[in-house]
Amino acid sequence: MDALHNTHAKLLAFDFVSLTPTASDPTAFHRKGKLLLTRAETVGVITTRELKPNKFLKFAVDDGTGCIPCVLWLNHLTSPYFSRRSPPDVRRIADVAARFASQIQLGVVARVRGRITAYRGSVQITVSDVIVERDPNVEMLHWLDCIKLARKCYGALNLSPHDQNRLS
Amino acid sequence: MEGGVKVITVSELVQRARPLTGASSLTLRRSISPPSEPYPTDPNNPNHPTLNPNPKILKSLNHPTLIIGTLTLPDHDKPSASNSALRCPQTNCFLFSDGSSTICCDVLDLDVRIIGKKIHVLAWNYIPFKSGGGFLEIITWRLPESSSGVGKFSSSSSGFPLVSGSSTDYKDSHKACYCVRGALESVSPVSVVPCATGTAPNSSGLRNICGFLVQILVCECESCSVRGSGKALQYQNNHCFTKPLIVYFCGSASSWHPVISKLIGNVVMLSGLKKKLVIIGEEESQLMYVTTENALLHLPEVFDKYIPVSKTVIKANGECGMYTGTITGIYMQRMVVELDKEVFLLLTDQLLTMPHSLRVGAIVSMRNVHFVKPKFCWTKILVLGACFKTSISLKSFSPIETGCCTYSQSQSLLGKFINSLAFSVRLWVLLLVSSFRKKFTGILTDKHILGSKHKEGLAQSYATSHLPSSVFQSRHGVFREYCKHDSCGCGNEPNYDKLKLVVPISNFISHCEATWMKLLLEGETDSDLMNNNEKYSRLSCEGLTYSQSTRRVLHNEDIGVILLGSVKISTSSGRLQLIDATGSIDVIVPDLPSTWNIDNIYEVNEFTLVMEGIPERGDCMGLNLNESLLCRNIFSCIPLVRKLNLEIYLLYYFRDTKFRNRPFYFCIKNKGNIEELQSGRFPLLLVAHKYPAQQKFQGEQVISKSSSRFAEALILPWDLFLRGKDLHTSPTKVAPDFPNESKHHDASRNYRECVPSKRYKIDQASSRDLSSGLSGCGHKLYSLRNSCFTSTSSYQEQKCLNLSSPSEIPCFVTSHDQCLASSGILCRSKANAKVSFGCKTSAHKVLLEFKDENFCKYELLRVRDYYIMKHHQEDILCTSEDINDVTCGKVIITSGTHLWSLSFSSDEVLQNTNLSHLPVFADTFVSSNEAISDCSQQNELPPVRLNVDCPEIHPDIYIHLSTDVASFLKEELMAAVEGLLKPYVSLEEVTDTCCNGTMMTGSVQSSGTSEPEFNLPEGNLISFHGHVLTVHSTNLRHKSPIDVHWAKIFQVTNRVCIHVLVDQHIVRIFGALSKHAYPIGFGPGIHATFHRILVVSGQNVLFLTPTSFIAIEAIAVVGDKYIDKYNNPSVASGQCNVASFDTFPSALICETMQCAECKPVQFRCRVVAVHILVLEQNKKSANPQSRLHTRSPVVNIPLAGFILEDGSSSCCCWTNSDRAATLLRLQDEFSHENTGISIRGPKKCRDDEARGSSIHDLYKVVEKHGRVIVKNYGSMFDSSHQDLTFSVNSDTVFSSSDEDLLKYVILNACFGTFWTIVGSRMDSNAMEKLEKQLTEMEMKIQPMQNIWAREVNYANPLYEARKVAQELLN
Repeated sequence: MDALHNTHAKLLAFDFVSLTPTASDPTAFHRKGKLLLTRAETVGVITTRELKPNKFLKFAVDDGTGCIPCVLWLNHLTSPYFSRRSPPDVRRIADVAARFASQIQLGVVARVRGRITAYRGSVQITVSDVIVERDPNVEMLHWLDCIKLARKCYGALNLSPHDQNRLS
Repeated sequence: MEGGVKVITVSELVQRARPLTGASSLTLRRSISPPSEPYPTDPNNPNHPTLNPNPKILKSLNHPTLIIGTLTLPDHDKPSASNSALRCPQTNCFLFSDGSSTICCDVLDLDVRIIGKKIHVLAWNYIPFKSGGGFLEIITWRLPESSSGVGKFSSSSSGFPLVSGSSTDYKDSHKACYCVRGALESVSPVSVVPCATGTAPNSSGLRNICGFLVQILVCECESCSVRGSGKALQYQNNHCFTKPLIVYFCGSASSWHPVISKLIGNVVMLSGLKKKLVIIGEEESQLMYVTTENALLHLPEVFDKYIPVSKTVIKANGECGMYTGTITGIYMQRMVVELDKEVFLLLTDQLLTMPHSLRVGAIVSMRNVHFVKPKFCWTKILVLGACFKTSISLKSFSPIETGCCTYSQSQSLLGKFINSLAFSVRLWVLLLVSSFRKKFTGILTDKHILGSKHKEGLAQSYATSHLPSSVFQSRHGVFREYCKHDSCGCGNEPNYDKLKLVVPISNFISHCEATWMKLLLEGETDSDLMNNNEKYSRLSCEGLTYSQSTRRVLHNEDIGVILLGSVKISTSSGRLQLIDATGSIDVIVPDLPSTWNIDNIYEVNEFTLVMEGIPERGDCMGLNLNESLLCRNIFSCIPLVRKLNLEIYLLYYFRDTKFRNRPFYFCIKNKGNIEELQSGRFPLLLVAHKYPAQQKFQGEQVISKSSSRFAEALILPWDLFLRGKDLHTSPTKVAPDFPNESKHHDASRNYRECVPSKRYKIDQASSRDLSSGLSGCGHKLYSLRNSCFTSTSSYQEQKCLNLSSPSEIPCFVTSHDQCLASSGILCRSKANAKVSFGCKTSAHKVLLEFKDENFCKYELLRVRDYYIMKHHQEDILCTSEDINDVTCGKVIITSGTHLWSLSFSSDEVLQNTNLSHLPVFADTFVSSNEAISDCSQQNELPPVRLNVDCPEIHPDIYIHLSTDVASFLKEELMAAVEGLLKPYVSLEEVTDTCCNGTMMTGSVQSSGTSEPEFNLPEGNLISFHGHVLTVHSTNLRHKSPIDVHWAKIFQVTNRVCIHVLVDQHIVRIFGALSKHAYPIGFGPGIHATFHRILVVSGQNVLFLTPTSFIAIEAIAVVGDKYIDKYNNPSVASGQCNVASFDTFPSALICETMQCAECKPVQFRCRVVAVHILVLEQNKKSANPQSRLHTRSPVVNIPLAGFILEDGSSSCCCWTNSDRAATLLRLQDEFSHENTGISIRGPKKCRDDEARGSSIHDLYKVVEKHGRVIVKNYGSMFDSSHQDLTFSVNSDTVFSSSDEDLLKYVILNACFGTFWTIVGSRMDSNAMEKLEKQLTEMEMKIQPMQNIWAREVNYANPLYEARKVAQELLN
């Protein structure tokens, strides 16, 4: 499933949190021991928000099946990670990130894309972009998309009885 | 006879009275310059509409001819004597006489020395005047061999006496010692200085002086300054002619005007001049040289052409210059001359007498003509303005048999008016006059339009009202304007680009057709890697594909024209049309007021033009897309020939937002029918249904000569009584219906007080006491009195007393236009009075019949609106003793019947408003508006309502009620119509009905015959709202039993299939192909209410029957491809999603990899990164004057590659033009809130500043560099890690701010929401092309799936979710 390697997989939270790191590639994660994923997309309500100015914003996205922890880095101007890139580009990225951070407010429905990373033994999304959604239907569409993709693309969706109850 | 050449006499020519040419006698001995271009023909466009598409060449005599005669100058002293015989009103023509007769003439290569000599005319044209007489054009001549020959002409030094009979000896005239030598620059027209007094000019010894002015540029060198030196003429070299002098040729010398005009540009010498200070204004004087009796004209032996220091480029802002061109048209009594098909010469001044040889086909040269390039939005043309300095000379006579006009211009008020304007405005007024004459032929008289010497005509008053006062220039007479030319404002051309062209409707229609083709041709030039020949969308229905009609929408500001006409209902199509004498155009006027008068002329300034049709390749044959044609066609008379099968209609409002659509001319003073509303009884109606125009069935004579239209109305059990005259105008007058009414009205009383409110008390007992019998109606009414307001018991109490069912409801009635403000009573109608209280009363159906003269009243009716009707003693509604008699009766609406639309207003709203903005009752009981908003909500479509952007569509009258009364009345009325008027059904009900037939709003019965094939379709009639997705014709190749039925019953082989989105589901309605069955504007993108649609029993099929009525509720006035969709993503999103889903299957990106075929599928995906992006200036919109492209994108994207992903995989999506712009969200300023990114970069800016400017900024970048290529060498999967490089073609530096802007544009595109993209996998051919293009740009194809996007739209989450859910369930 190379095609999925760089794709932002649409995963429901309960599915996302069950991803496991791979031994060979620190950027890739296993889904159910088979599928390799590096990026993910989620849509849900922002339920926690913890801001460290000029460092990061940690928040959680609750899509009704669980919560996905997310981190949005705000340290572009100081991080050595960006030192190779041109200062205007870094400033631009920092600006964008700062604006994303201001949009992440408790209670809003947001669409979040980013890389899947591991932090202290659990998976999270290192955010690359955020869209605050205003149409309530997008959440439902995202659930349906997740189910459809899980069925058609990511392999069978094996729901535990508990999960099935939650979804129904 | 000399050498076989026949001599023809002038009188012979005059007698023949036919245009002739004697040019065949041309010999090689003298070479002439034949017309370089016989007639301007355009080989590319044989069907070019010219005045005469097949010009006749002048008929030649079949033998060589010769005319022998003498060329003389006109005699200005005796104009009447010399010219009356010639029938030429001009006094400036050369004369040619051979003893037998004298005629006007012109000489192509004039040698001054032949004047007064006998010459042999070898080649000539003769053009007869219509009034008799004629005109000789001398092409070549020679002196008779017997004479001394040209070489022996008197020497130039002796000069030519300007006054005949005077001495030719220069020395004799030394007393008049001034002599002027220089380059002849300009000549004024001949004017008359009035010196004579009284009627008998000779009695006082003074005569009017004829004369003209000549400007000569002289040299100021020493030798030239020698007073009276004639020798200087011999030494002409090295002179610098710069100093202007004016010479006045007066008296007899004025007959030299035609000669001097031909000498412009030559160096001449005039001797025998006097120096005079001439007073030319009130306090201004000018030193000029005046000819004396001894004045002589000296010409050099060899003509020394003076070449003025001329500018090579004329800026066309009023500057003077020279223009040579071929005459291609002469219009408006020779006031407008069209040159080279694109330049218009204006000769509006009466004094500018132009040669007779100014005929179509002639080549002329104009000197000192003003170049004006008006910045009108409707055309780009060059205007040449002639002033008193202008002269026209012939370069070549016309070989074409075109008439030679004589002047018949009279100095009317209109003429003076035109001459007081700047040249560009003159053209506008001339077009206006021409347009008015064409438009109102047969409607208004010429005198009415043009005016007379003392009375302003309609054209003038119209023009005045549209022109700012600054346009008018005062005129000063020939002397002043000639001498002080530059300070008189001549040629001063301010920009009047706001003037819109008044066009005849026929011209407008042909212009629309040309515009349509132009837009389509431009659309086809967009390159496409996929070789998509099919530029226009097709849709499939029942497995067959159909071409979908294309819609183009233009707004009045893009076209720049004004339409004038009366609004009538066409007798042939039954549609509402704007009509003038030249043609008609269908119109949609949502706010058609009841004051509409079919005889009035309305001005339509603000409109939207919609053109819709299926484009065909051969369409443009015979259509000329030249813009100047608009002017040309207005001046000329070309009948309208519709060349295209194109639906063209206008959408406008009577009362537009800027009040620029207004009645322009009242044929009959419209008093308004509100006066009828003064008093009396008015039954309350609810229009239940409107029957469309009856269709003619084949073989049946259904339609008689006088056709009728029908509407079904419900007579409600409530009548409105008005008690009398309004409170404002005659407060003391008491209506006869209210004899006991108090005579003490308080005139200053606010109308609000009259509205019964919750606080309004009614004394039941006193009211009863005051009850009076209504004369003529026999109704008992409780009259309103001032005392009512002091009553103690509440209205509620009264209601209780009346068993919760009051039979009278006091109300207050106002009209929209404030003409009426009166108190009234709503009471149960007579028949219902019998019905005991508490018992529900019901409405009764009647059929309203409208004869053709009253179609306008039918047009005004809106289904499910309330109306009141003027009560007449004799009408059926009142005379029947038993109400049952009128059940399903018929009421003929005559011209005397008035219907007023009605709206209820409750007092609560009223408290907070003033009279000028009377509110409409929030839901007019059964509100169709309510239903539409439901519909739009369901569809998530922005309701582009018919009344958007216009003042509220007002009913004629408002009935103000208190809130509780209103709700009571609402219930009452709802109950009354129950069973008679079904609510609109939702889709569930539609489908239920389709299956079960449970909805019953009516039914079509079987015809009764036992043979099944002759049975009429049977089923229920339903009504519903919906959004029309597409309309296509369908043939009956796959005949189902229903089709066979349909074909048999209605004798049709074709039918129309309408796809309607009702409640997110598509239903198909089949209808007849007849255009008349559908309202104007019916097509994809509208919200419509379908009334009485037949649901065929047992089949899931809906049919339009001849009684079905479609009411358009909202129209999406957007073009489908290039125009508004681009600008308005929100509109596009709703429309296009629903339009596309039917056509293309959805797929995941990963699924397309496995699919071998390249069929188009639909993806829902997001942009992650940009691979490559090419931006360039859109040449179509490069010219800001280009009126058609004001809405097309300014930045063109010839190629763009976006990395897209949908959660299943990524792909590289290639696209171009507007689709790429959509993916870049270039037009999407309003959705930045999603990302919070201002496209303008980090700089803080206000929201409104950013709006609309991003494109502008981007355009500036592209404009600066021509073409910009953006390449991403970084990550294709992480938006933040794209490494964008920029390359430009130009030498200019790609600045960091430019880079910033583009990077933000791209980031903005990557942080956007998802799209619905219709695309297909690129085949090997397309890939090859792509690879080639990328190699040129030093880029490589990404190792991923490549798709070509043919359609990009915003996704509709609700719709998409439903679709996925459906998919998951299946």
